[in-house]
Amino acid sequence: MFLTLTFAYALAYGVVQSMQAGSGAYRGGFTLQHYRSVLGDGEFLISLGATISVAVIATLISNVLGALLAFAMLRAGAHGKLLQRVLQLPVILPHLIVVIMVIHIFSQTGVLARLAWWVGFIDNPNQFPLLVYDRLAIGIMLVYLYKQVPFVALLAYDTLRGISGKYAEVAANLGASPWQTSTQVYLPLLKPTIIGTSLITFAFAFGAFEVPFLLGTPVWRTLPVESYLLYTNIDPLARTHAMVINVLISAISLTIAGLYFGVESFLNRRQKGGEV
Amino acid sequence: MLKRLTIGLLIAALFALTIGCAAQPTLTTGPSEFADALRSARGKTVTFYGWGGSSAVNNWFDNIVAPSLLAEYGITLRRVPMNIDEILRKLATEKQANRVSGDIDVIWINGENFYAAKTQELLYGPFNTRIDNFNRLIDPQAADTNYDFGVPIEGMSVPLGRAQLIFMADRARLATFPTSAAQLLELARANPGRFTYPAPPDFTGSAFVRNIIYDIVGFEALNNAPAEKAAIQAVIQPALDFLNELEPYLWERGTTYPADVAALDRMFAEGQLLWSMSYTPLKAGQLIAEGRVPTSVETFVFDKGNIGNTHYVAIPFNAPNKDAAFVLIHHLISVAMQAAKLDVGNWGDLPVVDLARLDASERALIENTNIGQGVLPMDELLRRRLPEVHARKVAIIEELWREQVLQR
Amino acid sequence: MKGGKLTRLVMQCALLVFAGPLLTLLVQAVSLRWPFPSLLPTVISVRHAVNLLWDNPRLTEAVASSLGIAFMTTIFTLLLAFPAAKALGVYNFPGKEAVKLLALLPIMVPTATVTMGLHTGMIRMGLAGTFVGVAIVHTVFTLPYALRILMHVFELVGDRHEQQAAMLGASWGRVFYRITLPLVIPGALSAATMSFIISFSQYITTFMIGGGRIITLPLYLVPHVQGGEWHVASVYSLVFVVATLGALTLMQYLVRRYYRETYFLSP
Repeated sequence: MFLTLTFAYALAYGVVQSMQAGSGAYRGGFTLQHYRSVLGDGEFLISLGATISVAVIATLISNVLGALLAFAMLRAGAHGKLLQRVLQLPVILPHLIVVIMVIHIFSQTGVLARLAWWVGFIDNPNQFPLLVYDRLAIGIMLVYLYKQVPFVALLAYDTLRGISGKYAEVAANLGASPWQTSTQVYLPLLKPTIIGTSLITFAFAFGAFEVPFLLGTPVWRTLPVESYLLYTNIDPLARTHAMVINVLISAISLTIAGLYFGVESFLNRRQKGGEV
Repeated sequence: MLKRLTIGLLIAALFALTIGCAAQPTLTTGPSEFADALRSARGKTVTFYGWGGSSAVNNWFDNIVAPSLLAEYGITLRRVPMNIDEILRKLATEKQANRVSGDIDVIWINGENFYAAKTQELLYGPFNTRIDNFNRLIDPQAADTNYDFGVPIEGMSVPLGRAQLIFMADRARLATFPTSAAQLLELARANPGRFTYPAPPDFTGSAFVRNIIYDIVGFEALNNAPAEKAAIQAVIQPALDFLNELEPYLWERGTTYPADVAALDRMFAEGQLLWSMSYTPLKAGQLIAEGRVPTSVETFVFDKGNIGNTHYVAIPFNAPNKDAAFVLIHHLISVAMQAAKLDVGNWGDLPVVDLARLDASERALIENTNIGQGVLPMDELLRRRLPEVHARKVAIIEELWREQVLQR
Repeated sequence: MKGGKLTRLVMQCALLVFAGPLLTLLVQAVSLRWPFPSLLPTVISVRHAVNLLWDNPRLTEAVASSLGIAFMTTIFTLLLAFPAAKALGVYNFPGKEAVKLLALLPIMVPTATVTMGLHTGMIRMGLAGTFVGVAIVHTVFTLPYALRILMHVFELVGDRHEQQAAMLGASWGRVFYRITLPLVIPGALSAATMSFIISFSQYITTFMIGGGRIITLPLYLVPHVQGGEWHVASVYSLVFVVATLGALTLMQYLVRRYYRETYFLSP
């Protein structure tokens, strides 16, 4: 009975997804003409490149910092547990509020700018470097980091604590130095977790809408924002282009998802195969 | 026996089906005279669909128009907020499905959207001369009675209000205001980084670019050019060159622009920029009243004039209560409603009634309306008002700006 | 495993970086005027903040809509996730991996993209601009998270207990109520919390599917952020946080009261 429910649900979901992809393909009139015009458009390529770059950089930094922070939390014992509770807040906060906080602090009339004025570095707000609404997407990146570093750190911390109970002691008893324990024991066992978080953080940074919508520069737009702006245009050609972009976004996201599952099952097989 | 019965029933059913198909549902024709509309609409509910993103606008509709409509004509107003692209999509779908009695009686529309609705035959009309207040109060020769963003209206919509691009600056911070493109360049050179404008396709930013074009090249030249990219570029090239020349003196040296006019207002209110702009003519009054900017802020326009546009109301082809629609529109353009709409505390939108056609008491009503501090009076705005060009050209200009100014 | 000075420094920095920004929110919420370049607000007014909250029907409407949709979404999610998670966690059937993949897709594909695809369908089904329609779209995005959580729970718990009870003659309802539910309560609560939070903070989905008719708290907040009205934005942000925490605490409290002898995983 539960089985039929699951199948019904999965079917419904599949229908939903195909509706979405279908409307995209249909709008293209089953020709590739629209795909060609979108892919050939310079602005689209810039959006694509920029979106991917931002996502990759955000993923790299947040996962490295998150993992390091988790290590630090592990070594800090009780303080680490305290930080664990504190870090839950950024995870709960919606991106909108994080955007507000980042603007408060980093804008040209923000807290840092005012400190710079007090110290005498600048005379007026325009001299403070543009960190939000900027072409390098620094503000956007800061929001992602504020949300993702705690996310990665919390998950990594959980994994590390699990490892430390079992394997770390064994390794120490066998005479391994702290450095050896870190690299030979913790890191390999942490890899699956980090790969998982990397893929999730990439998927999120790639597909986010609200943050680049509010903090982006009009010079270039991330793909989801570009697609939305085209979608709400009354010109039907623009809407077709929007659906084309959506199909391309979905294709990229599905590839990432496929990678995730591929890597996950690969690692599962490895782990089941041999003893660590 | 049973078999024959079934066959008989089937034949009867087929017969009924063909009869049913032959009797196609038809659209209602609407009242031929306003007096008929007044009579038959009493007691009905009129449904109005339009953008609901401004609480000031919603407030005017819900708390001023609706009660007076009920009191004077016995008609209930039902306002449904919906973005115009969805409204048009809804109507287009209904047209295709031949739905002859829809949900919407009146829509709020203008510009590119009106053009799309008119060409796709989603509107009812022509109807404007069948509305009493239109004949009495609206100037039939006025440009915006007959053209909406360069598209001939041909009676398919009635003006509801007027907007105009205005600039704002703080007299205490900026002694002379730039009233031409050349003066703007001078002031920007003297105060680098303190001026900028929202990037098209933001509505206000786009209007600003067109305003610069009007100032440098002239409205006529742009209006006469064909709606084709190369031709438009040839006409507006001097303006594009000007904007490129201006760029290094703008905020962030023009390497980026504020994404929308809200961002511009924010930087103006925080003192980063020396000016801002708005398509709401009484915006300065609102900002001062909200305490976001000091009382020394004033409104100004270019000497050669600023762009203005008009927004309209129209009736969908399948409106179920066309008579009630007539009465609502009649009420919306009445002097009382237009004066209330002008009040800076309500909406701050310019009236469409022709002052020359008002009697003394009606004129006094408009002139005594509170338009707030730091704003320009209505006649001054109307004196320096330039019309919009065809909607197609707007899109082309935006594209050219992105290519020629932004990407350089 | 005691860390040295470096570790302690890292901990303190992390605390500052992640908890500090909230202070600016609190300060902005009570500052009526805080012009550049003052380091401290020039005009502080708690009364103004309170006034913003008090006689503000649009705010009340936005909060009510947000809460209503979030609760609806949570219920829809749990109703759909429970049977699906049980099937995926406990039983083995052909195509299981494919179903798992399909079910977890919405995490991967951007919300804006999926919503644009769903939009036309929603309009045709007459669900655009309705609370139920918005809740349904939110559910699409909360389901993968709820499924993951509940799947793990069911994988751990299995169905031995239910089978035994069924063998002893208990009806389907009693089995569910007495055995399944208490076992999965912690996971269910976690899934419900996740769903609620996700739904409460949705912007673009509500904006598109709501069609301008449904205004939730994020939608109400965004124009103030774009316009740089920090005082107002901060006050409403705090309302946001309080509302979220309040609703979640209520959920936890109700669940705890209902199942007194439930074992909770340590926080």
